[in-house]
Amino acid sequence: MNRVEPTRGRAASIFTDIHFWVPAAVLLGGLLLLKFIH
Amino acid sequence: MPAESVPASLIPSQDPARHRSLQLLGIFCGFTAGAWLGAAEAPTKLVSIGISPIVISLIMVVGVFLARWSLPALVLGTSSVRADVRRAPHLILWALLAGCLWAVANTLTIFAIRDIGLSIAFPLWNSNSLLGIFWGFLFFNELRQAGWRRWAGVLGGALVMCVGAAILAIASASHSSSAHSLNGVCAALGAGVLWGTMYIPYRKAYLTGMNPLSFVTFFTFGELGMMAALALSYNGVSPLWHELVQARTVIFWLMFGGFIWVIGDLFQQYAAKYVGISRGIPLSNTNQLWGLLWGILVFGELHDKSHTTFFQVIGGSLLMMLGVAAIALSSATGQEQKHWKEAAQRESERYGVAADYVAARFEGRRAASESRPSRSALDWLLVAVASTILLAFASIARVPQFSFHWVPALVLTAALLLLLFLCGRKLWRTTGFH
Repeated sequence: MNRVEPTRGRAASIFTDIHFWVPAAVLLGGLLLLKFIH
Repeated sequence: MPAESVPASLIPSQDPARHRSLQLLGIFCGFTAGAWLGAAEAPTKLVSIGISPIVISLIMVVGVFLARWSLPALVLGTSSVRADVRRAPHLILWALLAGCLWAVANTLTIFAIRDIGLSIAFPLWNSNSLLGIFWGFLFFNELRQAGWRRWAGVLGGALVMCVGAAILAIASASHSSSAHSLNGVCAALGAGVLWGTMYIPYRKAYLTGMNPLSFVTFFTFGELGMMAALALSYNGVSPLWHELVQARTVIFWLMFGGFIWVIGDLFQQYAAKYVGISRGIPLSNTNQLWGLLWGILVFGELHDKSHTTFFQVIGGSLLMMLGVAAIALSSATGQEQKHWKEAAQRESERYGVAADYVAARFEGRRAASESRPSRSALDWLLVAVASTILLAFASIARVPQFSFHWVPALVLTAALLLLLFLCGRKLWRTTGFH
């Protein structure tokens, strides 16, 4: 299997990935909005 | 790591005929998704007793949960899900995140409809397609070097669809705005932002190679967990249970709606995989058109409305079809596909996912190192449990007295089943559901 070595540990890769932080921030914003309008 | 540092040979050039075939498949999946997602509204129209919208949403999500585990088990088997997760375990987090985003967005739409009515709310959250185009361009290299014609086709098509959706929503609006209109506008826009952003995890998973059938099985934990948490926090345990018991005769219809919705959503996932989110989201947003067809032809909605309303419906529908045609005719070129591959290579490098797996799945194939998916006793058990639960609720379900036209219902159902058969067969023959 042509496995590529990751550039760093999995957790570090996830938590430095903007693809994680953008949806996470939008989710937090959504929950706050829900709390505000309810 | 920048894409340039990854050897170009990791994902080999695609055969142009294969590329064309996958693009057509993605567009077909987008159309089929719209039809099934729109039909999912039909069973919920049978529910007319006083249940709170959040409980309705929760029951539908339970139906969705059952379908999201039983359908993948039936189609490929859970061995395929396990194999996918072993190769890209980090994607579980994104699947959960996407499920949570969906649940919060869906709850926001309930408040939006309550406060500003469907006519204003629907076009506002349907703007998710424009955000999807933006995220697709920014994060996943979609529409890069696509040329102005394709840009105009996709962006112009999405905008025309938004206008068409607005006209349809105005025509089908049934109630006026309330004193909380600002809250309603914020809720509708918020839902659009959440749903538009939900496609980031989708696209990330499919560029990495994960099968849509695998992704949705984890997505649904986020969806059900968040929806249950919201229902409990708004209603409390005892009132929620009381409402569920009170609603037991209509639970089947809501769960059935959730089940139909999952079939549409699966096709939407394949559309996002093969044509990207910038084209996949607008195509599946045609669900509004199908929902309206069910409403008008089967449930007799708008029968007492003026000619102006019917002209609005026809005009809005034509605009939506025009937008869909523009997007469908703007499929990705070979040049744009090279940029998609760069994005896929970036994911492979960052998370150490096998390059042959990413490359094969990019082309809708099984990697040479993968074993053939097979069904086990566990899969049949999942299908049996889901079917038993649905049948149990069906046995106590009541059909409410309702204005219902059988002939158009049968015609629309036949159209749905035909689309399911044709698109499912094309998916199987072209990709083996990968």
